[in-house]
Amino acid sequence: MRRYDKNGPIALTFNALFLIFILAPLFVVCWVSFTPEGFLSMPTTEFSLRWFVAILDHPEFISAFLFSVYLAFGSATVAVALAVPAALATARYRFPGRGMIMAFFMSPLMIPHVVLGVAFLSYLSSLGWAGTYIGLVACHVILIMPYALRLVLASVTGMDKAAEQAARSLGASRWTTFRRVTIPLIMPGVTGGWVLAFITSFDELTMTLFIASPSSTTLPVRMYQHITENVDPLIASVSAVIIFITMILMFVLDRIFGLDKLLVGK
Amino acid sequence: MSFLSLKNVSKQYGDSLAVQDFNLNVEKGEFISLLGPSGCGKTTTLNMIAGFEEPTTGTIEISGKDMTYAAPNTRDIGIVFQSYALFPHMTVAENVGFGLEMRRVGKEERRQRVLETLELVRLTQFADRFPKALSGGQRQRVALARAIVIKPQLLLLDEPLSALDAKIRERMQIELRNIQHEVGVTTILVTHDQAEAMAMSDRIAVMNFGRMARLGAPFEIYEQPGDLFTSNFLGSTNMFDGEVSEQAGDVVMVNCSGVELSVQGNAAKGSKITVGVRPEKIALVEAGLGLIDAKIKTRIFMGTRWAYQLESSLGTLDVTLQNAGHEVAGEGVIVGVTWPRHAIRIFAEG
Amino acid sequence: MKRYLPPYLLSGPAVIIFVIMLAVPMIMTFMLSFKSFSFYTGITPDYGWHNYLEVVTDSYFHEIFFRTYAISIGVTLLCALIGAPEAYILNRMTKAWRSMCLLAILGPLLISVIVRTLGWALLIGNNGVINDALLLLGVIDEPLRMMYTTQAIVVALVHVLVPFMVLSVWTTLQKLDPQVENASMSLGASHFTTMYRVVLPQIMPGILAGSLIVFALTASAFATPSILGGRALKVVATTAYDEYLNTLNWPLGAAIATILLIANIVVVMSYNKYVEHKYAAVFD
Repeated sequence: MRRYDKNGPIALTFNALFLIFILAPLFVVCWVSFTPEGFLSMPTTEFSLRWFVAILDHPEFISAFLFSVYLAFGSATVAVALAVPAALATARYRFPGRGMIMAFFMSPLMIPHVVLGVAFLSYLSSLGWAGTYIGLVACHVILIMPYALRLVLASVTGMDKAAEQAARSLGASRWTTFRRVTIPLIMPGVTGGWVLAFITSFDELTMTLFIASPSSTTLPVRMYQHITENVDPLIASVSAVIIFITMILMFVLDRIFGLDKLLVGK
Repeated sequence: MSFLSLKNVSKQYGDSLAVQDFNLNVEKGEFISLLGPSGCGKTTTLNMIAGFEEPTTGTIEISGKDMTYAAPNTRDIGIVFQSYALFPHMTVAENVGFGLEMRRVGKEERRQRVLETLELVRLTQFADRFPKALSGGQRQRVALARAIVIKPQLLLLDEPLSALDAKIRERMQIELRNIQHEVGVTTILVTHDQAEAMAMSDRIAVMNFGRMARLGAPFEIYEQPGDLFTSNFLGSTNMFDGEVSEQAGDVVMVNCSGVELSVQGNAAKGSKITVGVRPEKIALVEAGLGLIDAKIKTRIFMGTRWAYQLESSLGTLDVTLQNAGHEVAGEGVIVGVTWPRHAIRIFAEG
Repeated sequence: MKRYLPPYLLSGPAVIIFVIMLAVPMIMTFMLSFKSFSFYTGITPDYGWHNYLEVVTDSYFHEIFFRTYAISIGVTLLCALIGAPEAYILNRMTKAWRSMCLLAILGPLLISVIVRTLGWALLIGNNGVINDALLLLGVIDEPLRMMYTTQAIVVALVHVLVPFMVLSVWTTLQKLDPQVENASMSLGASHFTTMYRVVLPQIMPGILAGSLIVFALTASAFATPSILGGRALKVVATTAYDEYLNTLNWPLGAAIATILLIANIVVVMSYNKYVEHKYAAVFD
């Protein structure tokens, strides 16, 4: 029924200001990164790519980026591999302790990342896993599991059970039904969960700050360390690259899942 | 001077005309239905009367005053929405009292009138419940109470019964009609359900593609639908294409697929016309005794009636017979088919 | 017992990992918070409440906790104040515009907080965009000091967290029957009354849920206060970090972390209880 915009001029102005507020900081980051100067400034007449070229002279950012991708990939994959059976269990069965297990899986959402960082730092050092890839993956899995689980769970509960019953009635075994009907039907949620888990892991700073070592530094940690020492155009150009990559990813995600659905988890 | 009149009202969305040149005069106290399939413009018309949308051209007058562009909260119209649109955060009594509150009716009088109205819709004991705790039929009655408690000069009902199951719907039709009589408010019902429109209205305006197709009392437009659309929308009709072979007075002979049918009406000799007869007007007799013979293809028992499909030289014929309590001819039997001459009508030529 | 086997087997691996990687470290941190620390001996297992006593009695920590929760309340209120109207406006837009605006508002959630905070540092720095522009226009003669202020932290956190509020309110708005506003108008209510009496009460659950997310995330925020607040404006999260990685007083850091966690849980639980109690009869 809504064929035209029902907002008045005040509402539209508010909306414009709101969007400026949201986008201005990101825009400024990109703008500054094109400065031809050796210090922070807003280029007005001349634009240069020198600070993007400069990233190549700082292998610590490139290696941190690659490590972040590597870590996020591993963590998201493990998290989804754990989330799918867990979602099937909690969505399909009623069993003692079900509510508690669900709350347990969702609990990392309620724990401040700094608390997780504190806890993991002493734990990993006592295990001798501090700064190792496996140690970081284990910690990230805990952190991103709620995101993965929420989307997988939504797709499992939203799935039409009649499709599985139909497959069974047509002679498919339990396993075949799972492989040929269940998995394809929950695939959108599984993929969405993986992507969201990946992004959450990739972006995580606070907790990782505690457990990263010089040889296992993620990009946000590297950037944080750099910013606390000095804010220069280099960090702006690194950020601009991240914004650019995220924007492409975002359009793709919005096309496939709808950004609001991905983030609300319904 | 009509109570509500729509004059040459049109509504355009982009390139498409949702309503075109719509004219309607409603008398005080009348119950009128806007009937048509979805997308025919009936809801748009209702929204324009309510003030939720403005006509592109034309005027809307309520008791002589031009209200075309008046804001909805100044029109003094009660509306029952398709979704009921109850306020979920208010109790039944608060919902019903909301309009009175907006009219700054004092607390005591408000309480009194809410109670009276809840009594009218038989919901007194639910006054303090939230809508969530009510059944569909009860919610419907709250919506009605909320609309009529303000004693509006006009009551608009937007598919008010479509969300209810068939049984409750029929009961609510009667109840709604009774309440409307009791209150005496001028009412406009928007519906796509012809049975509902016929059961409740004084007059029906049949709409199609944004235009008024037919306006009249239920019996009148059912018996003389005027065009194919109205005829089919108000019930089913067996249609035959034919050519006028003879004309005498107000009776014409029409040759349909080789069968000569006599039809009341006027049409030039040699013109091609369509004639139609409703399934319930057809009687089955012994083979050879009717106008034509036909073979029973299917017979379905529907409780109050039998529904037949017959094969004949006129094509497939739908026939319904009242269930009179005894067995009737079954599938495969050849029967004669007949109908009174006034039951068959001429529709649009060609 | 046998019929419960499949769900336990299915959720088993995740449960085991969560026990090993979450329950055990959390319990160990809790234990750690009761231990002692000195520069010479390091961490020693003399258990006691002294770390908690230090936090509770030292005015240095009072100030930090007060600042953290004052910022949280401020950020939450601001987010509700601008996020809820924005969600309402979005809901009234045409579909094409709405998805574009939603993309612009929700997209930043996918970008690391560090990048978004950097944007604010560039905007409000002494030679940042805002100061440059104001100096150029001759409004001011000297750069305004905006970095390292509480206001800077609040504004940047509103920027980081307001998408959650918009999302939360927007989800509630989608459940709103679009006809109720018309119903209210037809009963004689003005636009303002319709807003205040009909729309607002119905989106209140969304505002409350959004507030909870924003509050909890602000109270535990680290990167933004750390970068924009500097050394002087410490919040609870940055204090715990400093105790761990600079002072190396792990037991005290663990105590601060424990208090932060418990405070968060208490707020979330009591808030949920209040909201549930309030809306149980009204909404599904």
